[in-house]
Amino acid sequence: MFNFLQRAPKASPAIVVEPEPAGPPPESAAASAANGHAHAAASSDETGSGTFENKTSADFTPLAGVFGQEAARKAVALIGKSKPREMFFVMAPRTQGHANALAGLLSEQAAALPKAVALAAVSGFDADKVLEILRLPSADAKALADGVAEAVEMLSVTIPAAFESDSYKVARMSLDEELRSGHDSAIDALKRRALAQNIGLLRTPLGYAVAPMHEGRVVAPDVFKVLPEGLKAGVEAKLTAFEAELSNVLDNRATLQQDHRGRMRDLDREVAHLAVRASLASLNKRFASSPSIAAWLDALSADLTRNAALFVSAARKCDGHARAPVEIAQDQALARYRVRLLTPLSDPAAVVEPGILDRASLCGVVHLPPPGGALAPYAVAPGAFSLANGGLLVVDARELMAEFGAWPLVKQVLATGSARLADAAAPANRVAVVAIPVDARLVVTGDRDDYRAFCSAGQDGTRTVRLITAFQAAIPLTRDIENEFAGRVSAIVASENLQPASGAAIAALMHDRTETASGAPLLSTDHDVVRDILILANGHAFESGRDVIQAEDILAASKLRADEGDLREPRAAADAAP
Amino acid sequence: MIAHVAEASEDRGRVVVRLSDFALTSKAALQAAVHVATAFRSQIEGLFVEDPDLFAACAHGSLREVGLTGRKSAPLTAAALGRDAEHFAVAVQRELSNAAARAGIKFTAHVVRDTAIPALQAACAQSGPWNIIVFAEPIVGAEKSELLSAAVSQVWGTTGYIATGASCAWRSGPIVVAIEDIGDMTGMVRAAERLAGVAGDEVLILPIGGDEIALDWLEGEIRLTLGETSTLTVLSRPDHAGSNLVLRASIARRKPRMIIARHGGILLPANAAARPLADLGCPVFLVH
Repeated sequence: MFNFLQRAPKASPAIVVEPEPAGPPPESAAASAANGHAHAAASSDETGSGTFENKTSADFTPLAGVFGQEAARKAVALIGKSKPREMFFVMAPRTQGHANALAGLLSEQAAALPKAVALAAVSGFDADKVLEILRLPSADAKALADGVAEAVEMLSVTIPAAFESDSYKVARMSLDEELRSGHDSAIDALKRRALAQNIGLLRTPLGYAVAPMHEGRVVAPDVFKVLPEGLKAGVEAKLTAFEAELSNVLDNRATLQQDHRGRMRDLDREVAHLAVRASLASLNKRFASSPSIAAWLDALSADLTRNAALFVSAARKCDGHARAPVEIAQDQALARYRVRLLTPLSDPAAVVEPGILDRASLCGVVHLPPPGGALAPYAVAPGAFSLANGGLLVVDARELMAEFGAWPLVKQVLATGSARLADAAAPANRVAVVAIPVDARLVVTGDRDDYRAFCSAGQDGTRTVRLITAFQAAIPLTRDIENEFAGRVSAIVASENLQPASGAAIAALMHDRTETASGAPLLSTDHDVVRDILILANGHAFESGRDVIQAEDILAASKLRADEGDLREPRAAADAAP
Repeated sequence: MIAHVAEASEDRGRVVVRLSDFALTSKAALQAAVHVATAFRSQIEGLFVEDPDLFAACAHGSLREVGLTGRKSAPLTAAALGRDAEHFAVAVQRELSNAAARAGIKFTAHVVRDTAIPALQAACAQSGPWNIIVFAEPIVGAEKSELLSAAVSQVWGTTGYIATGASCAWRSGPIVVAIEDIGDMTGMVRAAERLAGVAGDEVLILPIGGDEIALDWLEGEIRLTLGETSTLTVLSRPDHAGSNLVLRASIARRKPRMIIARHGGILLPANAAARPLADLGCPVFLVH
């Protein structure tokens, strides 16, 4: 038993390929192939059995890729001309080679698509609209995200500094004093006025009391009792009047405090607004001609001004030690001012293959603040639809059918053009109110069986999805295909560093990969099997002391692969049947 | 002047905290009292002063209390007032005694029924002359400003007063010495160094003058008095353009732990101390 992973050293160019040994025409197809004939006698006339005679793989121009690649490129070209949110079912056999080739072709098509606008998630600064999605050109999206981050970092310095400035402190002191003097002066004035009429306002544990006074001291009760009735009545009247007036003065304190708070708030906003206006000036200028961005910048400016205290408190964290502006800007309390880009800014458009097909993976996840907590930070993780914005969302048909609810969700998203995010804080798959615009195209991949299942399993695929047959499992064997086959073999020999294959070996290999359906020979397009057999055959030839892969090496390798590797693939002809 | 307070062992003075008659106690004032007592290794006496007029008025029977919200309550009786006053006194004495205990300072409590000035005079006369009077309630309004002025001018046996304004805070920070007269400097700086030594604070010396010429001269004298070897920081005179409000704001910006200043000067006028104390935002150690 030889090790099929063992590679023989590449044949030296000086080595002359020996002709195949002469002998009687073999009866079996294998024997025919061993003599340099292309394939079975039944098909030799149609395909030109002498195509590879006296040649080796080195005599053919190497052709990279898989069989039918050019035809597939033409077929999938439709995707490159499609509109956003169109759906395609691209059919190809389930082999690694086809998958790789298809991925390459889809990337080519994605590159041909027109550039889509970028999406950015920003705070809506409103309890009813926590999150807002902005649509803007990629360059603008980056400028906006960077510009806002820069402005927040700048405000991390300028707002605390503004509130520490002498001018602010003086203005605040004046307002504080106005409140104090407003209330205290009223009490003091009342006290003086009352004292002038021999009435005293005395401080008690819970408030004030009014009492008759004489020469600065409270009149003793026994003295008061003996006063003439008229005088006593007059004092009682004064006590009642001052009591009422005192009540009014104390009652008025709440109004004064409310007024004071209003004026303090106005002062704070005025001071903050100066800093905010300066920090957003360049952004306002750049986006002046974009109404939606300009409107959001206005809302940002108003919110920054209204909540400037966040910057002051963020600057004071860290046990009273000064924090660097970058640290302040990264504070959780300021997370609501971050612009989060939901779509990649790369050029060209992306091809995205999501691993999981639930709402969170497809549409994205949002961590919303609790109700009423509009100031709390939020977070958004974009889903596959956003990442594939303007490009292709590629989904395996089997996974799409296997994931419960995935197909209806995909259809709904593409029909409405918006993906509602999953709410991270809610039970699984609960939908948040936030929706993200979707501009991706859907490409469902699968083989013929998958397509049949897709159509028959109530997936209404034929009505909503356009079918593209990119690769077939088997193709009719013609003279051109024979040459292409030899070219592919030549490419495999070169890329895998194998010994050259003789013409007979190529013919034997092609024969091995050919079946007859409805009387016509069909060549399997499974590139992986051809490569596997060539590698095994190369090892066999090396162990046999040959420096050229011969037909018998191919036959041995094919048998080994089937017997030992248990890798015999489903019959290509069956798959190719309509 | 001598800004000093007797040590506990001397029995010639202490920190006398005047606990107010039913006014809100300033935590900053209590902390300042404890800090001063710690610095001078002194003791604290909590003096709760009850207003005799209020108790006399209760005897009328018809006296009614108007609450701070303006709501009138039932007639105020002597029994109810006595009970409320006792509760209040115990509460504020406990607050002060707890603060003193945390710093390991000896504390005594007294309740007197008298007007404020005679009560303080009596307390300081008992052991003197090196007492510090601390006003536990913030100096708010003209009446309290007048009380402070009256105490400064009428109470003997004191070397200083500690007063706080509205919304004062106690925090870590430098000890600022506001010098308006070069004659005050030595005593003030000595007191500042002692206060700063408790927590390793910085001492900042701030010259304050009525005009440019006076300021230049004062700053020069201060630097001359301190000499080249001094490690104390002399602040350049603040650019307050003659505005005391700006001057106070620039001091408050430095977030001092305490300010040592002269009562009746530019920074703290004699009969209008309420606003400056509020603006400075920290306890002020006032000297005569």
